[in-house]
Amino acid sequence: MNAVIALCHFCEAHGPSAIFCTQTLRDTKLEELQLNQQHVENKLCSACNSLGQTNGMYSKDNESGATFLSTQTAALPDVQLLIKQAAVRSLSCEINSNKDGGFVFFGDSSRGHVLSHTFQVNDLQARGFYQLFSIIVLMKDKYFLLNTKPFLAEHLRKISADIQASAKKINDETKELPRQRRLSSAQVLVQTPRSLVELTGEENIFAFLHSHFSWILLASSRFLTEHVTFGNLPWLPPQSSDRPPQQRLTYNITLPMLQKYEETINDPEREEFYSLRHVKEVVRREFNTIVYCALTGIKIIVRGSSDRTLNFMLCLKKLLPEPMHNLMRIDAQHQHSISSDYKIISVSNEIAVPMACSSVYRVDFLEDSADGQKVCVKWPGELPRKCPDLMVKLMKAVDEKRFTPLVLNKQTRVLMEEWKNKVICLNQAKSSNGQAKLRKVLGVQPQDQPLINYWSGHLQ
Amino acid sequence: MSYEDDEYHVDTFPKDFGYGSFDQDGLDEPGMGGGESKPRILLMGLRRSGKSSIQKVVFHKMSPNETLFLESTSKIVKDDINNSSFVQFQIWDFPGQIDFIDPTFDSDMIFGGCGALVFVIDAKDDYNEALTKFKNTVIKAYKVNPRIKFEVFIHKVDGISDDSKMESQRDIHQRASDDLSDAGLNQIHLSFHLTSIYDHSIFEAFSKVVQKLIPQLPTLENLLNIFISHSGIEKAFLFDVVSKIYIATDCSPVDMQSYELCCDMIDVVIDLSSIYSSEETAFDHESSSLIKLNNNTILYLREVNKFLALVCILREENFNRQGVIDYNFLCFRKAISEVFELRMKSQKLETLDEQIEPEDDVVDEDEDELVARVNENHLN
Ligand SMILES: Nc1nc2c(ncn2[C@@H]2O[C@H](COP(=O)(O)OP(=O)(O)O)[C@@H](O)[C@H]2O)c(=O)[nH]1
Ligand SMILES: [Mg+2]
Repeated sequence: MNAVIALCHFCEAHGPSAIFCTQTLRDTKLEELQLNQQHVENKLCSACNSLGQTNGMYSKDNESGATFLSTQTAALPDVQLLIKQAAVRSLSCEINSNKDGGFVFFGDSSRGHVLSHTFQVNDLQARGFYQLFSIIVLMKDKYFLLNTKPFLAEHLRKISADIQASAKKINDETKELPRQRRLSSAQVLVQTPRSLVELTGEENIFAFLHSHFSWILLASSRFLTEHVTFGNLPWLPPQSSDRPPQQRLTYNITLPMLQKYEETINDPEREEFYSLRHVKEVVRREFNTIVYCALTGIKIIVRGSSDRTLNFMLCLKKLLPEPMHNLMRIDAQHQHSISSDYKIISVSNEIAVPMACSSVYRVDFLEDSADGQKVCVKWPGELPRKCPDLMVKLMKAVDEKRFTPLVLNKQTRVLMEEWKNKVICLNQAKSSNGQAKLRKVLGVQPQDQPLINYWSGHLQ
Repeated sequence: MSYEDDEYHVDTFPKDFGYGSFDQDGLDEPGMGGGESKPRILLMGLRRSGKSSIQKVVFHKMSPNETLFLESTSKIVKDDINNSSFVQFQIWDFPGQIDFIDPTFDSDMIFGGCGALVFVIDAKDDYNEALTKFKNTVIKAYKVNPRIKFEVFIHKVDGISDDSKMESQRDIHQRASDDLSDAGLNQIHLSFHLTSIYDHSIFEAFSKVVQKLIPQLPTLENLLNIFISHSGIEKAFLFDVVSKIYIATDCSPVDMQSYELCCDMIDVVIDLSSIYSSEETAFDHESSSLIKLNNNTILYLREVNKFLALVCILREENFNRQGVIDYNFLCFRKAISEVFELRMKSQKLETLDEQIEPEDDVVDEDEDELVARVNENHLN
């Protein structure tokens, strides 16, 4: 099951209910749905109505073949029940007291996991002068939901802010009316509650919601598809082949950026100009952690517009020996081929990415920040007490004031080659006895093990 | 958000509806469930029948006119009333739009520790739907907890003539009882009250509701009876000052006018002393007041404890012996505080050792003894 996104409303007359649901249909055909046969509940007033019981909106993504269908009540009966219960909970129980809407996560495996965003919409004619709405995202997969929460939260908040802004505009216009009339209308409140269309003055509010909800469903599925996997990172599809995949350095979603990469990646001049110091300038105090992660194969996700991340990526490339470089373009259809072996990933801002954890290092390029910080680095992991020898040497080289960028690059290259050869050498040794001897000769110490584990799989 | 809570499994829908356990810390202590320590009063009824207004006006001093601007209640609002030693309970204000009888809701949780169910019916509206809902609610609640007291507030009776008030009360009473006997539940006792937030009727009605939840009520009434008969007083109310509900009165019948008079007197005292008192509190152990009316009647107010006041109505000539009255009052006050201490003790016992039920008769015995002692102390 994929996610369902629904708009819910606390109707003054009829209580909480979902009034608009968008869901992804992949295997179910639109024709097979029996939309008309749903029993029509009689309690529907204009506020509990969105498209009407028999209408729907749908969009198709030609690339993936997915259809996004929006209807007043969810098209599948079992989903309908889950949504109904989640709506009650989101509006009548798990309300975040934060006035401008917060996020609440609730649910369990049988009733689905729900991310709920409750918000108030101004309405001068309603009791308390607002109506209560919520947007819920319902999924079976809790980890998926939690991992995409930052992305979902950002966009749900944008949608609610949009709705609130239009309602406020309408409100301010009616405020002009003489006070007397407003008051009297507040007293005759018993009239049916106003619908969202009236509240926002946007005739196409539901089309707007449909396109936004569909986009969120599409975008989050681009990055991640739901899988029930255990013992693997939740957002990675299970690996299908036993053959170790070819090592790749980076992938990206947008084509123009890829071309730029291809043009520049082999441009020696550019290569020479930027050294690891560029990385240090960008991440500052986090320099040692990013070097450690790059060397030991902890996934690094660089998020930002391509023109800003490009040089950064080129420099990170220097932290892996050449046989491990491979440029790879990934798009929605190929997402199954993204294996956990792609370690350094650059994505543009629109792409949802997993939250930072000890196995995911995140560098987010900020649009414009006041304190002059260019990026935001997130990695909850910790450096070991003793760092790999290569890392120590690299740090030393970077800090060496007498090295010009050119010299630094050469030094980096030399160090990388040295360790590449050591790893290849170790790979040759068959017996563990021979390995131990070789280690001694090569000066390999326990703290170098994470690096060797990572590299040896990819160097012949 | 924890990743590890997969183990606990909940099957029916809102068993774990944590109706905001975070906004009422400490209420879910063990022993709260059915114990006498903090009974629960549920406010149910159709939407816009006036539930939230009642709660706000009685316990939060909202002026009746302001209730026009109340927002609609979207979740169960729990309010802790902790005013005094005797008035301790929780009020749950329900959103009228949601059908809590639905099996998806955990009725044990709702009706389990509930002392009284106040069902509010809008008398100005067509009450057919309300009566259907009332019937279903009572049947369900009784099944879960047969000890619940059912109180029906026929509400918003302001602006309705006395005749039609009586008529609707009769009609509602008749139909509600018929409904219940159809369902084979003759034994359920229903109490009816005509109420409005625009006069004192709502305080009066709520007083009656609350009194039923005070286990020491007979003792208190007894003390009041002794006190007035020995002091030449006509009527005495023991008031909860903040909410102006009376938690006990003597056995003579209550007429609305004398209750209103006493309410107003409390207002006067509190208002005056909040203007002129230098301290924070407008009501302390020195508080007392005397008002002479032009019909030879005297209103006499004395502080009993931080939250309680005694207001008496008596004839002017009986006030000659003010010394006797004051002495008797001191005895009365002492007795009340002893009853209160006993209650505290039994509550502590209860929480200390859940297994040993506080034996009610033991408490009663002690209280009777107390009454006897008070009796002796009186001068007469
Ligand atoms: N005339 C009159 N109006 C009342 C009374 N009590 C409440 N109301 C009005 O009834 C409306 C609904 O009240 P509310 O407490 O929000 O109803 P709830 O949905 O049951 O909580 C408000 O506009 C109140 O002003 C009453 O005793 N008399
Ligand atoms: Mg209410």
